[in-house]
Amino acid sequence: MKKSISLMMLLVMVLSLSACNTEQGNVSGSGNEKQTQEEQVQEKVEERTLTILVEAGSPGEIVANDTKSEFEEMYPGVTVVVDPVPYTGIFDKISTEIKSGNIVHDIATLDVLWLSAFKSGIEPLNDYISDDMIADFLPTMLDGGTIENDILGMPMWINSKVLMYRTSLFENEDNKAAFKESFGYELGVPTTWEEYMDVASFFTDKDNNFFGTAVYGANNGDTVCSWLDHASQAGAGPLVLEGNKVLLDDPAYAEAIDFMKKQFDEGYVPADSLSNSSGEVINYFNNGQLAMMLNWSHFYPSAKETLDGDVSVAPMIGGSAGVGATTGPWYEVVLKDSPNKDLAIEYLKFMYERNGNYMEAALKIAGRTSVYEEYSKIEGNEHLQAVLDTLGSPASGNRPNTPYWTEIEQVLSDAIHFAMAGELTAEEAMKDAKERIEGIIK
Amino acid sequence: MRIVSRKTLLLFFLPGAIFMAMFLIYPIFKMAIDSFYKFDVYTNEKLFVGLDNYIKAFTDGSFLIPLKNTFIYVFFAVSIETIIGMALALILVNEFRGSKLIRSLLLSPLMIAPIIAGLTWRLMFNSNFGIINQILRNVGILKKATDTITWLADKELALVAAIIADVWLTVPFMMLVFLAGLQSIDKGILEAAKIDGVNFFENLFYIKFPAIKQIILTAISIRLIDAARTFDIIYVMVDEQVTVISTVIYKTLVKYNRTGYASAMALIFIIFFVVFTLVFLRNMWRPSKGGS
Repeated sequence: MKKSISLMMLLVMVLSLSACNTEQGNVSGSGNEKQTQEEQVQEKVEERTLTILVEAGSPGEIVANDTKSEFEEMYPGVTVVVDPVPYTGIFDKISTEIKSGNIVHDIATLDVLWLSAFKSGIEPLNDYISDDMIADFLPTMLDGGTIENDILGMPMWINSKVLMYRTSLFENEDNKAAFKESFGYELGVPTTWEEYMDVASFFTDKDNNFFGTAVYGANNGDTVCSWLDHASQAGAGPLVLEGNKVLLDDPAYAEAIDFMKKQFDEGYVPADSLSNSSGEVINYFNNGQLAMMLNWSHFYPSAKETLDGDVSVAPMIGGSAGVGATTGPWYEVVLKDSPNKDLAIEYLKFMYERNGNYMEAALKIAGRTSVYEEYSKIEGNEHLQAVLDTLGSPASGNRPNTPYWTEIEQVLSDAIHFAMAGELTAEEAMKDAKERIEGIIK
Repeated sequence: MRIVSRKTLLLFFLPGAIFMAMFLIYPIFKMAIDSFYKFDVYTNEKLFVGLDNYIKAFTDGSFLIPLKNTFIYVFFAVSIETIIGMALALILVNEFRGSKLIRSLLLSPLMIAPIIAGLTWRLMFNSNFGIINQILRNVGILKKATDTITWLADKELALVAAIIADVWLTVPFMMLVFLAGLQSIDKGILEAAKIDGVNFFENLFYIKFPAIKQIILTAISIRLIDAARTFDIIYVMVDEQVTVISTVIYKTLVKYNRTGYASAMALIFIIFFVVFTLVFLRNMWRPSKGGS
């Protein structure tokens, strides 16, 4: 009796487990026995689901949702699923999918920083991108998306930091006179490091919690990007790495830190600058506490609206090597092991044709020169010309294409943060960072 | 005569055992193997490196600094939580008007997810608009409106901020456990002690604490393990300044793609906790030693 009960229990368990595993197979196998193999294939083709990973709240999500029905109409039977996740979640998800081989998303929207880390799992697009398309890529876009001659991503948008300032302060006659008296030349929108420091010094009024500008000092990637802006202006390039050679002994890197640190030490920036990055800086600017700032161009429209139009924009400032900025392109990529690769590539082409939609979305930025030029003629989009001018400068470029960038960025972020806090000199910080980065890439 | 045979018992045990083997034993075994390899960041091919990952863990700041931070975090967070939790439990064990309402309100942090608590505290500690600095200004610790403490931009202060958030989140748990223990003490003993004229501290150290010693140790051991594996609060609140073991393992594996090194760190962490738990539990629960 006991034996029978035991056997029955075992049987129930085994059956329930096998039912779980073969549920899918049973539905198609038993229910549609008369269906021919051809019909089944047709059904499979028609009922495909294209899953796209996007950053939640980004233009990527907005445009993917806006264009979803149009693509579905063009490809009947195809369902587009837009999967929005936070910024860091994109890296984590794709990293896990590629490592495990369990591909859930067909397409992902990626920051340029991640391309090299995921190279082995991304489908090269060289055969699908024409020369005409490449000719319309914005400067640095092709370079950023290409690794070992493989074009890994279709441009979505590119951005750079530009100079934004309070128009009324710069046009005020009293300010102009006082500035000329103090510095011996006319008050104008700064184009060099020296002018930038003079203007920052002039407008700073600490007692009233008003500052000439802001500097990035938080221990994160935003600070690294800002420091690389200044390093490129000081003549650094290629940035940080050349192959396996770490370039941090180039004086331009230490000069960039000193430039940032001087603003902090002199008090031209808010006292809590060591915890500030782009989000905090735009808050200060929109609160009316800054005369100018270097920040991502996409903040311009909202700043102008918040400050009742009292905001103007200019290209990034220049150092001894001229205007320079580190760019922040985003790409759409197809995962190599996606079961819907052909459809995913069609989707990328479809989205490239609709690149202008990104201009209509939240950030007012895009990835094609023609789109930038077209939209820069519209009032309120003055930042686009500033970006074009900044990107066009020979000193502007991408961060290095290396799968170790996330780890390297943490090392650099620590180094800049500690140097700005005065715990190390700029040279010591760069020397220490160089050794640590060599340890990472060896 | 047994009601259920040994075989039937084994069958009941089997699903759980299979589950444990698949999702606990196998991953740990796989992790142990991975810890002896280095993985190519492009191809994921592995190269046997022997004990290199372990040697690196015990000689490199990338593991030792988070380890030190973890010890500091655990020591201060659990100590403070125990003291405040016990103090609140001693107050609330005496029924007074409104005590039930206060007890319910004090329990509210328990209903908040650690990740939400971390994000909220991050805003509260914001050096520009955070309420903590504003309170310090209101009470005169910060003299001028422009004075500020950059809580989240300094390694030491960031760790303090994270400990404060953890204490806020977990004191209710300690209070609840201690309160349950105190309420279970035989009232006859307490009344007898009162008649004998024991003072407050004698009552505390010679009657109440010995009576709930096992409960205190259980609560502390749960919190020690819980605090040591804390991830959410640290990651969302102070990750830019402070790394602890759990966050560094996560970043090394997911962000830096160093599977071998992350596996070695994780295995060291697991072994440490298994040993700790065994020693702690062995000393705690020995029926021969008596206790409540």
